[in-house]
Amino acid sequence: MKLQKLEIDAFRGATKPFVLSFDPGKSVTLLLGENGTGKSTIADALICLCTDDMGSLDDRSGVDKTFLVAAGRASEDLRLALHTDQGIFGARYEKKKIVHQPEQSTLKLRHLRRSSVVSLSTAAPSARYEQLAGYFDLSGIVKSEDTLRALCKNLKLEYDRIVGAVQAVQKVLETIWANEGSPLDDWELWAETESHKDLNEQRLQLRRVRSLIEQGEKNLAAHERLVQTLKMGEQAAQTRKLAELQLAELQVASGQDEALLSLLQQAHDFVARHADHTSCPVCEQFILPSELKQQLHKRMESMAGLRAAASEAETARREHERLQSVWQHALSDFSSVLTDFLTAAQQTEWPETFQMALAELNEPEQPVRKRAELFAASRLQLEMLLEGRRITADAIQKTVDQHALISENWLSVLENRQTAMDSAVLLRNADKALKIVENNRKVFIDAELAAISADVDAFYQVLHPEENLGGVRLFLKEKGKNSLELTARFHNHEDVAPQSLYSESHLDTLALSIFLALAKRYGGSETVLLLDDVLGATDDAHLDRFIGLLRRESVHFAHILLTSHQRTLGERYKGESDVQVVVLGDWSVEAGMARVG
Amino acid sequence: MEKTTNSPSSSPSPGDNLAEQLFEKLLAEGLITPYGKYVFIQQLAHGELKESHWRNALSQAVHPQNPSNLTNNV
Repeated sequence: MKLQKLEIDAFRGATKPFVLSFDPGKSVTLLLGENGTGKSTIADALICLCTDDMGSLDDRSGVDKTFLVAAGRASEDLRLALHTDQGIFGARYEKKKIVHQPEQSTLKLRHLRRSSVVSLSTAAPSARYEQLAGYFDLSGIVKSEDTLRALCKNLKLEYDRIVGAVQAVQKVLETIWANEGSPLDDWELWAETESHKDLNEQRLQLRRVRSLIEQGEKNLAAHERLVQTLKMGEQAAQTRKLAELQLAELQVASGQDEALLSLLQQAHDFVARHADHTSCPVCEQFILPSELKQQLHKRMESMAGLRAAASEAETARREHERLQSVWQHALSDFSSVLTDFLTAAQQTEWPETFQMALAELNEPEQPVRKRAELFAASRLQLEMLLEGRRITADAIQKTVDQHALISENWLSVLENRQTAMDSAVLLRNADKALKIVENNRKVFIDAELAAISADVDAFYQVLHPEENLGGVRLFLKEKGKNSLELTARFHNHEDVAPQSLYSESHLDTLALSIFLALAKRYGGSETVLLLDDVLGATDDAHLDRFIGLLRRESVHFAHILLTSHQRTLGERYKGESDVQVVVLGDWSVEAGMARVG
Repeated sequence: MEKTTNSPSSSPSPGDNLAEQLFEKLLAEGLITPYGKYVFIQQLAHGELKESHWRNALSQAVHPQNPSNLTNNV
């Protein structure tokens, strides 16, 4: 890229429009001028055009950024434009910030100001790392490395958990195996063998036995209900008999009939309903209803004892009949349940005596009542036999349950072992990957720093030949994180911190060498290099060597712009084929910046 | 010292270069597969690889899937 001209208006010192034209054949521009002539304005303009910084105002605290706009001018007047062979790159001031046009440009700028020169060579290692890390920014790699490290940690936890789960299940199986007498001398062989066994027959048998037990228990319950209702019915029959006997005896003793009592009650009710009738409904003789009612009532009162006995007999009769009905239902229920039981019992082997009882119960056309009697005779035996069947069922259930437990746990062992193996492989690979990333990152940085150190030292030797200075090394502190050390040689003292022994000017040139080496390595041929008033303490001899170095290295950059208040430089380099000299004159608010040479 | 340009760099950054180196080394060790190389390198360089991305990439090398089923393995 070739710079053509820089236009500045209403920006910092450019109270009037100012144009800096670049000589197309010259790759180094010396911008000279006394203090306050606008050198920083030009530098800041380039910085604002090419970066998101604000130039020298960034170095000062408490600065009002609105003073980017030149005094006495409106913010909308602010214009910056850099004309190049690749297009025009502009900027304006909007909502208190610089807005670039186009938004994305190909301009690249590396700049160094006086304030940075001092800190670069004398900063603390961590601050130096922060300054230079921007050149070889590996923060993304570090972040990715950190997530890989976190993954390794989590994979380890996962692996430990799986292994723990396998061990727990193994322990369960080993315990069962030991309780079984440690068959086959190997618990794994035993577990595998057991899990492959087919227990369908046992499960079928268990279902049959449970069914038989259930039917038997239903039978026993139904028979028990039958016995209870029969007993209650018999008691009710006895009660009824007594009540009826008492009624009969009372009728004989009183000479009164229960039927008469009923008749008297009906007559009383009739008369009460027909109070206006004056003739008897039976004999048709004259009657007085109220008197007749009284007489009837009196007669019924005299038969109170008979009434009570009749009521009691009636109640006893109804209760007896009710219980008879209940008994019938219980008998029917028992018959049904017995049929189911006899069906289930056919599939089972029984002792001979019980077989005979079952055969009797199974006789066709056997009355239900007879069956109930036969069942009652075998009830105790059935209870004992069912108890035996329960013990059998429990034993089979235990076998079935243990088989299920062994099978499930053995399957779990196999699955978890495989998962553990996979997890172990993943963990091993993740650890390996992490080592690769860590080591290679460090090697990469070390290599970069070694290369940069070599360049820095080469530049420094150009600036200070035969002065027995240099041997510059930039390296990461081994134990510390993000800590960049800088050492150099001072005569016969190797690897010293330069700020300990170097003079201010030597520290300045060291900083310039570092900056130049970084800009060259990470800049590229499209980069503009800006050095703004960085030559403070440098004497003429070193200054000339420095400018010579810039001229030599300018082939690696699009352009180099160096600002200085040392106007004598203009006389020395005016007319050089590759150096353009621009001299700024006095500045005023009314006239703005001015070029005088 | 200054910040760099406000424009995207046209040449690979040191981070990009290192990310590519790391990818090749991990691949050479058989720890990852070549599928999704570009995306992996970009995410590695810019710190966008999450644990799940690393896990998927490493798992792929242990249990390779049919590459035609993969669009982006991170």
